[in-house]
Amino acid sequence: LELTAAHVNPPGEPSNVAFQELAKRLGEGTTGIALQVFPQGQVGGETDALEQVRFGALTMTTVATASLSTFAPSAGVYDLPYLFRDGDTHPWIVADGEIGKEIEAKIEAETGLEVLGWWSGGLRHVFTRGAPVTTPDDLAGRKIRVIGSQVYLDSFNAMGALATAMPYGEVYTSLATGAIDGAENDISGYRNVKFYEQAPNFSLTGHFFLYKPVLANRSAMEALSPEQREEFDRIFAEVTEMQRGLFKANFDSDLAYLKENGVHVVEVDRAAFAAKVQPVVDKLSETYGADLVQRIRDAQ
Amino acid sequence: MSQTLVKIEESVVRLEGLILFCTLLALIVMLAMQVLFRFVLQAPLAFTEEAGRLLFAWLIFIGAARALYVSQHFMVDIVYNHVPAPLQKLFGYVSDAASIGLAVVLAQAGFRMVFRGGQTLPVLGIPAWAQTAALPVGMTLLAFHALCFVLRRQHVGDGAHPDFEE
Amino acid sequence: MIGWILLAIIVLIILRAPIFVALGAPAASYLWLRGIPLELAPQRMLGTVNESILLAVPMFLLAGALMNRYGATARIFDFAQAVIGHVRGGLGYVTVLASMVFSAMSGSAAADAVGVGKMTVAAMRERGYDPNFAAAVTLSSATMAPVIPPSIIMIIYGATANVSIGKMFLGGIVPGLLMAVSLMITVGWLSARRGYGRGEPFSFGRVLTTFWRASLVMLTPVLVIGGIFSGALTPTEASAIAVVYVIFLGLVYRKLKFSDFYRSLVHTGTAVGALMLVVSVSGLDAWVIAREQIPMMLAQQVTEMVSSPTLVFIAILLVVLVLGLFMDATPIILMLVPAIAPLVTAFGIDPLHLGVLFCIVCVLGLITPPVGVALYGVALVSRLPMERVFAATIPFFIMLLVLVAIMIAVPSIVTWLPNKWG
Ligand code: NA
Ligand code: NA
Repeated sequence: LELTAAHVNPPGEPSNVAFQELAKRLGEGTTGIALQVFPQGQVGGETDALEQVRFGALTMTTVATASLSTFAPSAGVYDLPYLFRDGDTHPWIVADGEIGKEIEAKIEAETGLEVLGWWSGGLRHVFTRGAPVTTPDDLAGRKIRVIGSQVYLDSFNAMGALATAMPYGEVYTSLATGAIDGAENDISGYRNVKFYEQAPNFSLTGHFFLYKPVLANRSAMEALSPEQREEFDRIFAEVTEMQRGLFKANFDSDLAYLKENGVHVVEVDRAAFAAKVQPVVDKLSETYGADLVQRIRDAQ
Repeated sequence: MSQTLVKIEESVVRLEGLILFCTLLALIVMLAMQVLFRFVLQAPLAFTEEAGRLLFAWLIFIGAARALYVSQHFMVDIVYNHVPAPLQKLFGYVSDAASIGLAVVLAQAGFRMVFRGGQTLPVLGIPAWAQTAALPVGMTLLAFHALCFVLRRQHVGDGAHPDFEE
Repeated sequence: MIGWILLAIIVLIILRAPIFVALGAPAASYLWLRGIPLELAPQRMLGTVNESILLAVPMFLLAGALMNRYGATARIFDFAQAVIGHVRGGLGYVTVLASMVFSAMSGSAAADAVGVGKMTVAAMRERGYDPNFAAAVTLSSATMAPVIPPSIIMIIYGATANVSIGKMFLGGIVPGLLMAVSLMITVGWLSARRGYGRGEPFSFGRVLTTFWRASLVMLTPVLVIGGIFSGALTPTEASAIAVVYVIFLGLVYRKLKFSDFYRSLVHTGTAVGALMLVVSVSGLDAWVIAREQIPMMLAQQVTEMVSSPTLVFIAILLVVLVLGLFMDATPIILMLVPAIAPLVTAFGIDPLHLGVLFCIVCVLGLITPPVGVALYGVALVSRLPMERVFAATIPFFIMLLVLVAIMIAVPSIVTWLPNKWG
């Protein structure tokens, strides 16, 4: 039985490693499941892959919640700025707990897909050319490229920046020429796409935590026999643990690498940034339910 | 080919032309506005990038349909031109069938994708079919033009239309 | 299976099926035979062209069309003719030079091919040049666009292969200039061999008058390049600003009639449809090729046969060249780079040296049939059959291959500048 998986992550990125590991362990398993992985956007971008999973051309993929929410509006609640206390404990309390199951059920109803689990995309940070960003005031009037998602645009405008939508492929050149003053990404993307060469100030704003839910085509997963499914779930749980751990461990090694390569890493007062985006949070709390947002915040 | 069908095809072509004009003009205006707002007014617009891709899809697939009408699609006629007439006919039928068949299959699959729906364009906040419908609509028009060639007792790609060069 | 698909593609091309049909019908049949939902075809086709970076193609195509219509192109070429017309094959050199200037404005060979080609081929034809020669020079020099920075494919390569993009940009400069030189050498050699005529003798007065007439037009690249490097414009926006400026020129020259403008836009839209449909369908083929793991298999088999770093280096580039026949540059990078990464490390190959040459060879694939967006772009704007354009390009193509061979042998051509400045 052959399953397929696609993702957009480059070698070394935890989701890339995790899918490789998943394929390896399934291959070594005893119930005869093979997993063919198409890395680095070989079969399309995140929303493309998600759509291919929906109509069954692929078995599974992992995408950022920002991409998932174009199909499943309920996933959007996770994209609220400064929703989580940290990037490695609080998100898992939520995703693996009661609230996570509720949201998962909504996502499954909205997309017709099965949510296999929740991986980490880490916290997102701001990086700039020119002056570093230490306080929200340092963002004032500066063009920051964000991913094309309304909550990202609103959040950065609320922080005082000029949120700029731009294709990913042009960000590097635009940082070089100064068409934009900065952008935001997780540390792994910042390092892999070499943004640090042109924007060497890395401010640990941690404005969003990004989940990477793994989604699968329901009927493709139903083709697994009970024994196969049992083995799959066991190995998938191990790999999920590994992926989350890897993201945490990689953060430190990436940070060390970046410092060695002349990157100026800036610690910031996250509360000051969080205060700025409060209006965005208030507005979105109405959409998703203030109660739900509060429960996520309070989850222990 | 009946006169009515000729008339219909002519109006379709005029409509395609109008769509192409509007889309391309809108694209120029949109990109120029993007520069104006980001660089001159220091107030970047959020929607231009997404809207640009939406318009581009329509430009491509409506353009592709009209390109079939004016025989502007690329083809290699080096062998075709050197085979005897009956063989040419055979070549023509095979490639007509393949063209119409592919266009119909793509249109059908495209409409299935459109009707499944479910995705929204995140910044514009409208359903993604506003963009993806370009393909099945364009392929339907393309299949229609291809069929008109056959009804005119011609083959797809015959007689490059004089109008296309500027 | 992949063998049958290839055969079907070739047979359909021979039968004079439109190229998009020849590429699309076998791929659609593959999906059907493998039981893969057919919705994949529209999904991949739309996904491939869902890139705002590609908008430079319609914009430069339109700018060229409008410039031809207003006689703006004629003004540039009258000036060029005045300067270099007394030299045999003079406008051939001008085309190479124009492409080089264009390379700094765009990151894509397709945009260069249609933007430059729209003007040069018609202008050279009017001035008595062999249109095949004109098309060939234009096509081969379009390969400089992604080599001289900015370059989209170098960004993709750098991000995929973990090579400094800044260094790759610097690494492209000397090779890009050498490409211009070798293409000019080929122009000179062909012009002499074929006995192309000379234009009128040099006259300083004519240079001055034609320069004055062309000055506003020649400001276009100055504005655009200045706009990009000052940070005012992204390369995609620059293409639209070029159009706006050309419309402005039309008003200055009092040549802008609404009916003409309307027609130019409709015809450009039609041409974009023909060109981008091929790109779009080739994205579907790329999915099939990825599904069948062809690049990885090829890389493995070819590199297993060799054991020295240089031979591995050459083998990788050969695989790129072969894949380049059927694939666009981006999917080649995305599929092949992860497959060869272990070899690069194991054999101690300089990733920067390989990266720049990998990109150059990828770009050569853009000018070869049956999948070659630049080739189709030039065929489109020159109104010549694609196979004739390619046949005329072969001498230039060989020259570029020789240059690649030299750059394999002498890595410092690529690495000297980035190591000095990076
Ligand atoms: Na360039
Ligand atoms: Na090619």
